[in-house]
Amino acid sequence: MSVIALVGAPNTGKSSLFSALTGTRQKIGNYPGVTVEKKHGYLTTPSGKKVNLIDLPGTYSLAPQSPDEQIVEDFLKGKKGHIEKPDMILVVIDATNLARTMSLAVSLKEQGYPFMVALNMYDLAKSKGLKLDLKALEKELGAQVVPTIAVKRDGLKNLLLSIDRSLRLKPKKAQDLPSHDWSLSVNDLINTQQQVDEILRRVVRAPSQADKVTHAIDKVLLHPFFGGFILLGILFTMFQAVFSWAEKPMELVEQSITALANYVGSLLGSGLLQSFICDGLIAGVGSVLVFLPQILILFFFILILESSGYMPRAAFIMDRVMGLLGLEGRSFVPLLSSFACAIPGIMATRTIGNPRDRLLTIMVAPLMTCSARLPVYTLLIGAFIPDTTIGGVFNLQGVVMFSLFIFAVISAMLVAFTIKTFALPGPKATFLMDLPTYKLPHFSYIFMSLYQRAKAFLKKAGTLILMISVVLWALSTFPRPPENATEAPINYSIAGKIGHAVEPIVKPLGFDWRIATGLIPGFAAREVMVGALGTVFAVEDAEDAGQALLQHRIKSAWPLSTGLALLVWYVFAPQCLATFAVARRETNSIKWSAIMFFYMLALAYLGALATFHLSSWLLAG
Amino acid sequence: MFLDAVLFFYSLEAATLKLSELPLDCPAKIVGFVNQNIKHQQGLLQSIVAMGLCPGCEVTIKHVGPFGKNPIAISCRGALIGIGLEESEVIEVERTYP
Repeated sequence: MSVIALVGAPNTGKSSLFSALTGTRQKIGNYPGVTVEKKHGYLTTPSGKKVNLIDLPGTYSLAPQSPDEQIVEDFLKGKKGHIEKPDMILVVIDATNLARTMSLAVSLKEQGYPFMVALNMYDLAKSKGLKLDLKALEKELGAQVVPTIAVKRDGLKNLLLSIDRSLRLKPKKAQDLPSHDWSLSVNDLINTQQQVDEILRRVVRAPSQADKVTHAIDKVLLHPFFGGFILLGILFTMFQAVFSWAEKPMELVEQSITALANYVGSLLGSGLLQSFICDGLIAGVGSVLVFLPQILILFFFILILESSGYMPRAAFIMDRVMGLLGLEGRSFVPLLSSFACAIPGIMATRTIGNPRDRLLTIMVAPLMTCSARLPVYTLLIGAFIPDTTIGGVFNLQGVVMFSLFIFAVISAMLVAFTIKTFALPGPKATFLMDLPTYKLPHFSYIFMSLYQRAKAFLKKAGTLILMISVVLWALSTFPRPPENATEAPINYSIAGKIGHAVEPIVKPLGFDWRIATGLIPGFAAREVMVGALGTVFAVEDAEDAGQALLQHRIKSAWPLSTGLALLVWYVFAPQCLATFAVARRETNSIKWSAIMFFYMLALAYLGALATFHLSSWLLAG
Repeated sequence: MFLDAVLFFYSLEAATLKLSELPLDCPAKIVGFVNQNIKHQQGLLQSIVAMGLCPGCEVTIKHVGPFGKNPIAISCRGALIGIGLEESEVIEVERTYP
């Protein structure tokens, strides 16, 4: 099987091309010894040759500045156990941005690598007036050049035919083979860029026009004064939408689940099986399923911001604010992604070149309000905060939710500042990033991603959370209460006993044994807490755990100060073991993931302690 | 007389300045880097050149950040690039007049 490496600068459409070429035959792994994700897939050429296509991280040059770019160099030099030396390299060049994306191809030519070029976004460049002599370009680069439009799957057939042709070529003479021993100085890089300009002077008949639309939009969105407010406005709208838009679909899901539980319950009659199906299975999974609409709306916004080209602008606007607290603008995108889930957020820190800033960003990413916290926040806010309007416009529940987000962000900045000052002093990282032209998001791509999110979430709800619901139901059902029981049945169960045993530790926070019972399975995933409380309360009263009913029960069971303390606990608590698994993998350090776990636990305990006592004192006075 | 004065100020303006000192929307040309041969600066310069910013390129500051020229967004070789103060301070430019 032939091995082809796919290289290219960021934003050239390299990933779309990879997806278009390999389709579903993709595999994701890790490079040996490092934590950079390795994506590869298989394709078959028209002549029937099987090809292993390896998607290397995006890089501007062959002089690596980040762990990602180092991978490309190591791979091309055949270092660090990269056994599959590429037979050929496929370079992706952005036709709308030739001058900036062509230097990789020129460098590869200089080092003697066999390569060919996919000239991507060729339609867009032509519509902007670019006229290019493709034959002359092929001659200059000494490689085949195939125009492609990856997102529309155009030009793929020609590309595959050219791959066939290239692979059939005989090996070159020995002196033309790649030396595998190069290192590019600043002057080498300047030289390459000047060669690019010379080549372009010879092959470009008419240049593409500057994007006036992008400039006009940026006049507003990157305005030194209003830009920041627009960014804040976008984030605020996003969080309000997560609440108001999701309301109706959430009600619908909730009603269906209650109806299902009632229907199944009526079929089975009362008994252990009915309790298992209705209180264990349906109530447990259902109370988490209800949050699917919110998660989808949040991801919808993040995907639109990402694919429209706004995300790097947000980093641009936020750079100073992040810089004041020891992070860089580039940390903003991984941190914003962490609002959906810290796991993709932590993985997105790979784009941060400076290892120290990367570690800092990883350390604070789990403090961002991820979507798994939303079910818990929604439950508690719905129970304790009145649904009233303040100032004529804002919903009080929405304002509290927004405050929790802001509180988390400020805490993250303080933690970053503390770690930076005391544990990781060092110089500021470079700020250099492309601000790509604005593009209308491809809705097929967005809905595909949303579908994958929904599938992943439902799979989680269907497996992990289902399993935990069943275990928890069993824990809170067995052993059965004695015949002449005077207390609620759960008081006799294992869960109750564990909850009671932990209660003294969490009592100073205003938590009772029911919260303690919910917190323990909540360490597997934050949203499980809701299902756990549902089970605990439903079993106790032998009724179904509708959201409103559960909120009503919670409100009558706990004082407001306990509710607030629990909210603060959830801002900080390290209640997601998957995050620590990913952090361990990405930092390649048990020490740092342990530090992460314990600082979060300490902040959660102290924060909840302070909140409980402060609010009890204020409410009493 | 007046023309002489204008030409005199033009000649002052034509002197080399740092990219960070260039006014908004004024076209300029990169002429070199400050301290190009200092060893610890090589990584920074490599990143800058790899982004396509190298001597001979025309640059214009198109946007500035909310807190002054840190960062700035410059147009260069048909693209828009965000660049921080520390980076723009090592790039030497000369103003060009159309």
